[in-house]
Amino acid sequence: MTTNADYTDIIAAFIDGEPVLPEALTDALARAEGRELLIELLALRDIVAIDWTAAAPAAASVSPRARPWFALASAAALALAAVGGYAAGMRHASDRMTALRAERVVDNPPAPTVVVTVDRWQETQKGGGS
Amino acid sequence: MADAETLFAQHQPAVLRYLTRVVGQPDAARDLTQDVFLRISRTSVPETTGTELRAWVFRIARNLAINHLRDRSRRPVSVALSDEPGSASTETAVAVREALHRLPDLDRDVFLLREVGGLSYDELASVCELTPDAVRSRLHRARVELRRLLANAIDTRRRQPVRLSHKS
Repeated sequence: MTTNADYTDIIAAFIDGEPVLPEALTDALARAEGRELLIELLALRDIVAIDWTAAAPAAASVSPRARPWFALASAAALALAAVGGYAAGMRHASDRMTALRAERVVDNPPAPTVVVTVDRWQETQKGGGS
Repeated sequence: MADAETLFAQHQPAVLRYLTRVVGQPDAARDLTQDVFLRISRTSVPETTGTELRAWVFRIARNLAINHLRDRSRRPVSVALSDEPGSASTETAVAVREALHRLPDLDRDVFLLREVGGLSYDELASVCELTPDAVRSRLHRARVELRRLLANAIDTRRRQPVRLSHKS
């Protein structure tokens, strides 16, 4: 019977095309762990065999040489946006103030519609009657 | 005795696959593959057997890859990934790339030379200047670590039919 240490070597050697003794392979595959390992190693081999040479570029990481420029450009864009936003806000506020001042100058006060005159003092009774 | 042209015909695809995975950039891998066979064409091919010649070709490829990675020193790689029907998902490809880059350099080399280059244990020992026992040990360690790091992808993959050999 194969030991824990060598059933992995036997299975690995078998899938790597190395010569293995038939009895050793039989023993290794008689173990559930051996069969499990065989399937796992074949699955691992398959996912490592992904074609990376095709042209479609994806998931490209930013090269570190580009990173300082990227950071600098980001900072500059943020600063520009902040200054631009501040300037736009100031211009808008200034325009609004000018418009308000213009309204005050141009518009006359409204003409009175009700004139309240003060008569002589009258005493009233409690409850609203006169 | 094999000449450079014969070696190119026999080993160029495997060398390109190996270099693509090692350097992570198809364009750089293509340039390095050209360099490998340019060097071979400028030197005298050793008078040895087929497997020793393959080890010799891959030793040149590995040395050029090491120099390339040293020059690029610790820059993360940009990888072009295929998302064509029939190929694995981009997420899996990224996970594989990241898992491979977590391995110690020599373990990764041994693993990729075996899985992608198709080298035998004796050839791996020759290329990486290790004993065959050290090759087995590093290969085993790399596989244990990759099975741990890629457990989800392996779990997904093993629900599909498996085969003993694969087309790389």
